[in-house]
Amino acid sequence: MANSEDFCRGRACPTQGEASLAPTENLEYCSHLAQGASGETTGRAASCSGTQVLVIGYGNPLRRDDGLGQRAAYQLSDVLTTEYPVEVMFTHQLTYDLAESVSRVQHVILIDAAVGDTPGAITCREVLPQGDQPHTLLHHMEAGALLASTLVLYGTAPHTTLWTVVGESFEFGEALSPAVEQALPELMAQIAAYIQALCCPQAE
Amino acid sequence: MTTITIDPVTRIEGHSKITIMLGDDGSVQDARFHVTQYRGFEKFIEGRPFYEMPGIMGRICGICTISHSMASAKACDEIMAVRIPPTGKKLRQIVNLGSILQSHALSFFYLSSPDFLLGMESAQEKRNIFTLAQTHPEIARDGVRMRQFGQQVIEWIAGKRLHPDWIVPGGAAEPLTAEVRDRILQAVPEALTILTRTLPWYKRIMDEYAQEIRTFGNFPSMFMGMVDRRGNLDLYDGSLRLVDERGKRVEEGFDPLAYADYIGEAVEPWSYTKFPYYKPMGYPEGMYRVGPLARLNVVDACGTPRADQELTEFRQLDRNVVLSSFHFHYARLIEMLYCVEKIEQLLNDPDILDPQVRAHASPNSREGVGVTEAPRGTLIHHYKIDRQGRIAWANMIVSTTHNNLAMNRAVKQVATRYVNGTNLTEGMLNRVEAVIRTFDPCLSCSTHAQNDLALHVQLIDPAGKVLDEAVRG
Repeated sequence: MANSEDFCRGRACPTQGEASLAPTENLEYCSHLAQGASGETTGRAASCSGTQVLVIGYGNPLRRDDGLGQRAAYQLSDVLTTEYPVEVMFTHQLTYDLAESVSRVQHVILIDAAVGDTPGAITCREVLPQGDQPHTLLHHMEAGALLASTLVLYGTAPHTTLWTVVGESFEFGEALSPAVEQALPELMAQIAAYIQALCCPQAE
Repeated sequence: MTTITIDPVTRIEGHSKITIMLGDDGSVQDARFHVTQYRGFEKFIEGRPFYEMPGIMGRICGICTISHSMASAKACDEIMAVRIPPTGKKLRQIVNLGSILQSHALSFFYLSSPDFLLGMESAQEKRNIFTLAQTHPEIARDGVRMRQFGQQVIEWIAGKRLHPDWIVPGGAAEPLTAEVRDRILQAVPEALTILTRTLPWYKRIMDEYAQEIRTFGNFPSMFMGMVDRRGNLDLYDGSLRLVDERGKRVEEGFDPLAYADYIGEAVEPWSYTKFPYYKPMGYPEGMYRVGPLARLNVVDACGTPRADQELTEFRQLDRNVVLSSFHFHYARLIEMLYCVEKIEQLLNDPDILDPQVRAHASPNSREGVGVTEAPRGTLIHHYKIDRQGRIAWANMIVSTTHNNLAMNRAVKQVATRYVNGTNLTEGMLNRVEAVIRTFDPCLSCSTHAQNDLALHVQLIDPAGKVLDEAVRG
């Protein structure tokens, strides 16, 4: 799960790029990111068929809200992959192996649970490649480290956003907590709108 | 006596420590490789329905998840007393090969190649895959791609790369689709290309490690591995063959279901891992090794063209069998080649899309043994059930456990050669760890450790005073 303090500690985390806002504001913020991102990474107006997006939902589905990322990714795969050039992956954690898949796309959307004070709060922030890569590996990798590895290995680090929902319970179990369950449709809507803005900005 | 403790050992799967006992003159008297985790799976599955076992047992480990599910499912097949449909067996074989492939790629490229390429003397904090990505990006990319290929084989066939519920008692949950078959086949040439360029590269750099080859677990022992009816390499099913240090067959091929007649398990008070041995020779004389090196030492042939070419060359390394544990790395590469070739062969089987992949039955036997070859060696699951089909008793001998005696001996050999009792050097510590890494032990198979990997080494004088200390983490 993502912890915003851990995530940014000692790294070039763009504080101005973080958002922990009410749903509507959050959507506006991320739409802004989408517009900026599609221009930056492609250098042209993205078309519905031209922009490649990779969605990675991660976490442990046997630890209640930690399974949010995988749950959201599964649901997105049902509704998005036929409509947009989106590839969806589900995994327990980010690992070095994902670098190759990440390198092949223009945009990456990461979905994870977070620790915080307001269960159900949706957050979106831009992730940048960060220099410090762990020297022990395999079991845990931060999003920034994954991008840094991708940059070193493949010479590219796609525009990446991390979407999180603050969890309420990380105990053993497969069911999401009520707060997170309730936030899930909103998260899906926001990500879907974000992907639409990335892939088909003219439809905005 | 002075004791050096390396706790835990890094860049392996799981948690362990090494202690090296020195005499008053600073020479190595003894060395021990301790597994400090406790598994407990055999106990807490008691009372659960037998058909849940492949799903539960896969959770023992995130790397060997397929191997445990596979051995477990085979034990359940025995309990049901069914013969699984041929296509179900072939699909299980393919997924098992994918699992071995991804694990070998992890071991060779991610965990061990930093030792070869950055040097045993290089700083520990720099000797990792991330530095390798900067210094040798092509090798790192090949490692990522090979691991990804193995994981994709699992994911595309079994639905998930980690803990899939596709391996079920009686066969497989779903048949293969033509689309998935073709997708995997399309990826095969690239995998073969990577291995075809990695093998010559590795053989060249191997020359720089002549001293390590001589001292890294290079001693006489028996070797055990699975062979098919023709004596070829078989990583899914077959009989278990044992050869001695001269290549003489100690056991031509015994039925894995009778493993308890041949393999004993000794216990030492300083490790949670048991010490399996070949019963007729007793403990500890019955020491044997398993895993890639052992498998290539026991087989007549691999059974695929390119791997057999490599096997011929591999066997030139030694007169009869290859004894140095350093060559586990080389054997791992050859097995990766075999895995890719075998996956291609099986996918081209005309019956591979047959929808009949699972046999259904209630329990027809109160006991079942499932044996398969996991990445690190022979894996044994043995269950007994009660009248309601619930697990009443279970025993597992995981691959790493078979190598326990040999790993301890290897640590002592390396310590004797490299450890100087008067001070601790980076190169010494690195080599003691590196010899363990040749075996690619998976201690996660013993438990689920929560510990951060770190290294703590202490040099203690006979009075218990800490003379020198090093902490990594």
